[in-house]
Amino acid sequence: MLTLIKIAWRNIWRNTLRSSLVILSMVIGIAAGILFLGIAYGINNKRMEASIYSYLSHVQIHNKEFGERMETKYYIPNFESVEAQLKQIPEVKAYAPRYVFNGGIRSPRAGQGIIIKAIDIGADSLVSNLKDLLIEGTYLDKKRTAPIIIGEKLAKKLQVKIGKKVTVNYLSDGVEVASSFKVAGIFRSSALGMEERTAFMRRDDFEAQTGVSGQAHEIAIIATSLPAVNVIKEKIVAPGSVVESWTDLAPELELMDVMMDKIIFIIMGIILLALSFGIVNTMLMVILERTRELGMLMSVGMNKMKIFLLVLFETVMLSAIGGPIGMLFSSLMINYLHKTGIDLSSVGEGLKTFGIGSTIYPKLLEGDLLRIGLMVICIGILSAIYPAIKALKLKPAEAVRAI
Amino acid sequence: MHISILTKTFRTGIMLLFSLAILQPSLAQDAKEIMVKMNNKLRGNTSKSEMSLKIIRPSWTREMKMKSWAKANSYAMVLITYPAKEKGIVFLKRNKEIWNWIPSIERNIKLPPSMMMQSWMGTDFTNDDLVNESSIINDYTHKLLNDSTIEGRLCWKIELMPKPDAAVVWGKLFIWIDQKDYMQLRTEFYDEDGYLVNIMKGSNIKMLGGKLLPSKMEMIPVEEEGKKTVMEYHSLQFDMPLEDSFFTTQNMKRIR
Repeated sequence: MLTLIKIAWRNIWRNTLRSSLVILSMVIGIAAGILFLGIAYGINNKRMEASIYSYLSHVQIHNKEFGERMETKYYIPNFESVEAQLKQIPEVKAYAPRYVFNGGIRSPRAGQGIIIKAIDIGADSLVSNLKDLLIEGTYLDKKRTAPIIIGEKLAKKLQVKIGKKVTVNYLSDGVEVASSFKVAGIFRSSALGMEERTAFMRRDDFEAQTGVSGQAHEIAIIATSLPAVNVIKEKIVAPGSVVESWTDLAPELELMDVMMDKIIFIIMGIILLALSFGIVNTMLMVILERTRELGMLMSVGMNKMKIFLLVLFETVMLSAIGGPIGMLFSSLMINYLHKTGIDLSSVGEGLKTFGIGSTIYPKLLEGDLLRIGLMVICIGILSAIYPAIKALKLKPAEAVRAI
Repeated sequence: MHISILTKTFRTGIMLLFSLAILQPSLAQDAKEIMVKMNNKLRGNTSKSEMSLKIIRPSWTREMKMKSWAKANSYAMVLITYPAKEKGIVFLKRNKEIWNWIPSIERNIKLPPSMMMQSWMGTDFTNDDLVNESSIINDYTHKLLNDSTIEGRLCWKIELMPKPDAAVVWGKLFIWIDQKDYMQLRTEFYDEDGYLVNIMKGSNIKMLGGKLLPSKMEMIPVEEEGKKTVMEYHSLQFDMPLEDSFFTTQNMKRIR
């Protein structure tokens, strides 16, 4: 066996150029594939983060009845005790209580029904990235009277700019509240409908306008890490409320994550399939070249099993050299890019509309390299079969006399 | 001698200043009174009307006819009678709520406040315009400007500036009110930067329900060429008996 491996190794290097080319194509193919996966992971991660920090957060708490109706009377029951719990749970990195309600916004030229979120300036900037989404104006601050932040599309529809007056009215516990606001900031977001239908005001403005205090319709929570999300979800005891994690709120985001796992196999499979044709081709050539030699080996008594193994070893070695080099190369590259990030600001305008910042940090999951390594070996074995069968079919007497 | 003349002129000057100072608020008072009178003229305790609404757009026009009932400021009901497709649709306003009965799907929908800001049935009026009429008295300070004539009638021109905290989007309004019959004949809506945004015109003055009123109202968004909404009263009745129970969601399904 060891002798066979030795022979196979030597055989590979009998034609250095040809073998190197096969190995090189293997390296490039695998590196490109892995790099692509890393970037795709990075984008997906970024997208997930963008959704989480722009509107989802990791965990949200609402009144059971709140749901789609969003009536102001559905406050979170026992808000204070829920808040006290959140302070106790170590996995909670930050949380922010919000008032969320339907209302109408109006400018001199148009009106629109919107969802208004009255946020605590300090707490909310820890759970949401609204500040970073601003393209014009400033974040809500304490000094200004009644500032409001609206989306770019809404601003366009209302035909208002920074500093202009808009009126907002809404029902609070059956009482109509109408008040005027100054547009303080305009944000851009890719989250579905957020730009057209969401506005942010200060929590204390809502409290001053309605006389409500120390309540919330929504608590947004950011966990210390992704696995901690479910821990928090289980720890919170809030009768009358629903506690939902981001995967409950936006299952499509998690779906993307799961899908990526499958896509890895598909994409790497396609790349490896293409590479295997190259290997098969090379091996067929090798057999053709060595017909006489193989015939001679058979004539002196080398059995079919050994011939098969010889071809198999040669093929697997080709891929087993190319694969790891490609993987090493790509993981070094991904590690490097993970630190520096790929700045796509030249096309960032387009990416931003998908909820992705312009710098992408590629990364790989730990198990992936191992799985890809296994796939490379499998492909090596599979692509050995056809050339090996060809070799086995040779008749010793004829093969020896072949040119 | 000289001195006495001087003191006299001085005194008259002071007096004039004083009277001006007194006159100023009394003028402002007048403007508000005019507005109140004008507003009261429009609403009896109850009213019933038939009207048509024409939406004019650059490429199409659409006409609707409707009957409406109203009581004080808090109740109103509107029944669409034309075109056939929308016939039977009813809007009910009870205090701050608006309900919408759609017979074709047999559903009664409570319009969320968010929809109040949207245009009402595709017109240039918003639901909010229909609900929130008292605001022109309470949300503005009124100032009487010079007289002018509109459609051959002598009018007061009144400037309305929104109060600082008022929930008003406009920068200012000009309203022209007929001096004899307290009719609102023209309103100009300006935004904060002083651009004219909308004009509302009243015309076709006739006797309606025992009162002289402009029977035709046009709302023209100035910046959008070829667009306007024309509202015309065909009949109007005031102060007939109408129970509160008329304005219920049950009754919405019954009225013809």
